[in-house]
Amino acid sequence: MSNKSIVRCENIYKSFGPTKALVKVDLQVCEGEIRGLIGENGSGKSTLSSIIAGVRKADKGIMYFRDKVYAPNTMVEAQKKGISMVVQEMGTISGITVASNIFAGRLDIFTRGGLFFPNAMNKAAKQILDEIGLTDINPSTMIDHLNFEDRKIVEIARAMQIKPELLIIDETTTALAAKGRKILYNVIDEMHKQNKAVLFISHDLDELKNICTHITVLRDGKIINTMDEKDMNIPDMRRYMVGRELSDNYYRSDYDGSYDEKVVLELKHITNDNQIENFNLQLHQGEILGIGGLADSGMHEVGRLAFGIEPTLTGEVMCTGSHSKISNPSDAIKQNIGYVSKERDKEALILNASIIDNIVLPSLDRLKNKLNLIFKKSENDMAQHQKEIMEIKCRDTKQFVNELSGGNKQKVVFSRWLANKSDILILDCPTRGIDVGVKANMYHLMYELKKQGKSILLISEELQELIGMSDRILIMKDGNITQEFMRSEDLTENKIIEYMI
Amino acid sequence: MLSLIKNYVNQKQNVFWPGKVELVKYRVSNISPFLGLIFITLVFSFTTNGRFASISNMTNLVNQCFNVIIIAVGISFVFAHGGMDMSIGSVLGVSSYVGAMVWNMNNMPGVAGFFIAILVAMVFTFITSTVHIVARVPVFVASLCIRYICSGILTTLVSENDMYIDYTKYNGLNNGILKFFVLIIVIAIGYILYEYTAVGKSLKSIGGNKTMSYHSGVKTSRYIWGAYMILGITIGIVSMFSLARVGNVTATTGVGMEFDAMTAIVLGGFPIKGGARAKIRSAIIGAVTVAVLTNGLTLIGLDPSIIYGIKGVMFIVIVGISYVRKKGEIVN
Repeated sequence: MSNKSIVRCENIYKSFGPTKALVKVDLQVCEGEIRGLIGENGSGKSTLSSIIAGVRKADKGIMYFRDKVYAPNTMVEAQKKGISMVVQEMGTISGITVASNIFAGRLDIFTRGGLFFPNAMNKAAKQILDEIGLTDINPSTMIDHLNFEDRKIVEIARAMQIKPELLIIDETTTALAAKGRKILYNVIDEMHKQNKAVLFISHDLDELKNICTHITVLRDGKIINTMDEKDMNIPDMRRYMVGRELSDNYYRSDYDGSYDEKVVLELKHITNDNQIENFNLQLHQGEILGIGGLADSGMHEVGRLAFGIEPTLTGEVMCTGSHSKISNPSDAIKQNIGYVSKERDKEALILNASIIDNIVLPSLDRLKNKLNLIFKKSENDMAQHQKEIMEIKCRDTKQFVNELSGGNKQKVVFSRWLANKSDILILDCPTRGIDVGVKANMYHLMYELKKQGKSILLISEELQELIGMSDRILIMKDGNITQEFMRSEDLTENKIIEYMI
Repeated sequence: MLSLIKNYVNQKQNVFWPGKVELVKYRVSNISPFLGLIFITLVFSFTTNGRFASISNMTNLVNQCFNVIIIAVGISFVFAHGGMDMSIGSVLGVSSYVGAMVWNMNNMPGVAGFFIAILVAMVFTFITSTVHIVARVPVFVASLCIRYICSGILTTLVSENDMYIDYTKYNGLNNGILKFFVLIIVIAIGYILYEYTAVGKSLKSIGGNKTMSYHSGVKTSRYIWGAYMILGITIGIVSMFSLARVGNVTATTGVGMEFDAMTAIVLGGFPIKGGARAKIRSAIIGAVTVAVLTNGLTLIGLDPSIIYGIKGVMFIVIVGISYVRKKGEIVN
């Protein structure tokens, strides 16, 4: 295999104010390489990839593209050279069709004599979608009719339509379920075969280990280590990322799956207007109850039903201790239930508000004085206390949440329910898009809460997490529970998977 | 010890610190509406040979900004959660008319007029918000419809004769000192409700993220309704004071009030979409600024038609300075 370099960066520096995002970074991506880029949140992965893709400019340093100096001013310039990127957040333009999204900014290809030919564009779009394996989408549908996952795939199609030499994928897989991942892996594989290169950013270490040929680890804006296929292993990756030895109990270490007999939350014969039918579930005191399944198995709906967000057609959610029915989030919160949504930025945070505002919202009743007034001091104290026990990394609690990294945002979400002294926590993919350091914190916290006698409903797409943390696991498929597993040392992913598909 | 420091530095590195320039910019944009107000006040104090700061002009000023400030207090609650209301002026017209009818009845106490006017205004804002919440009609459209309905009602009512009240009977309401105290009370109540109770905090959180607020136990519909009810009360109060000042209700009573209120809000640096940065003091400062500008420019002796143009230019300048155009971005 030839080892010609496609992109080489030398001595890249980048700061945001006093924050040094990148310090003296050298990176080379060669032909046929699939290079994974890993690091904790805030380590500079996205900054580096956005500099290569032309979104940002480095403060200092030189980049070479095929041994020629390369200094893109915009993303479009980078694309013309052959570098395209799929971004972390939603990057489709709403209000236009799938095909227009794929060819956004390049509609001139389909223009002849000032007239635009949509049919030609749709045909070309169809071809690209077929190539990457998304055959069931009509290019002339509006992008907004697609679900989140398919839109992400359309973005991949857009990145691929310029036939890039280097494809940068920035934490896209967190948004994708099995089908999307398969498509993405195919695309990556195809790039590899054509001797082109991929720069792949992900938090999912297993995934990286499986598909990458090389891995570069970033920490605090510096390159810590580079591994190739033969010395890639997950404990090392973790160690390099975090910069210290992670203790063995990443998950909890005991196999004592016991919990109190007392039922605290019960879903009775619930049917909704989607796929849940006559669903029953009991959550016990001091139990971590895991729910696993594919993304569309209905497990996320169960979480929303249990918290009263989604209406039920028949059946009821009962808080057994107080015999009260839960039909909306406000009821649930009164019964000391907390909910961590899967869509953190969309549903679980006010991005444009301070950490204080985000933490105190469900606890406003708690903060009232005799005259129903809420003073800033009590709010500040509550937030400050949470900041300290959760070790939220921030300037101060007045800092706006949109300036925090993913892991710290999630800590704010957790803090909100801890501050409200929740006894029951419904966690929907609580560690999604969070780096290993914070993940370990979260697992530790969950275990602590269990030991305090609190109950946790852990809904997760990561089987490892379920196996590692739950006292009991329910596996769902098509809106029904297909199997129940108790905590045990010899429970493996393989045993579980067959009940999911 | 060294490791402690190292650890500390490491922690700091992972945190987003806005640069000095951004921080200064943010602070400047935060206080610039206030500085702007002080600036124009000073300018007018000097250019008008002290006439601006005279007692009689201050009474005048209280009269001029009274309406806008009170409406601005009410509409802050609406804008805080991302709502708006295009019907304020016409609702004000109708409630003035009904209030005037009560005042013209012989055996009714003057206070009754107030209560009924407030009630009428609340009925209309209730309809607007109900249509918005229950039928999910965008509030811009819902309030626009109410605007037409109300101006239709008012035009019909005054088509024969404009409504007059016995001017001398309610002249007491034009007392500058009384109005000043009413203002202080309304501002104080609004301020406490907005900044120190769950009402203001919940509304701001709805403006920031409605789904999140709902998931955090905020009864979103109830608070949105509440916000429009507060607005209704302020419209009712203003309708009666302006009735006492003008003495009659015509087809044009109240016209354009919503735009005055909106201008005030924008001028004060109140984010039009609400959220955490929406401060009620911005609305009040903005309302005072509008009044001071109008008053001062008139005192200088400018032609009213030119004043409009000058006001427009000054708004652009003030708003241009006060709004943060681009926020710092964070990447990981």
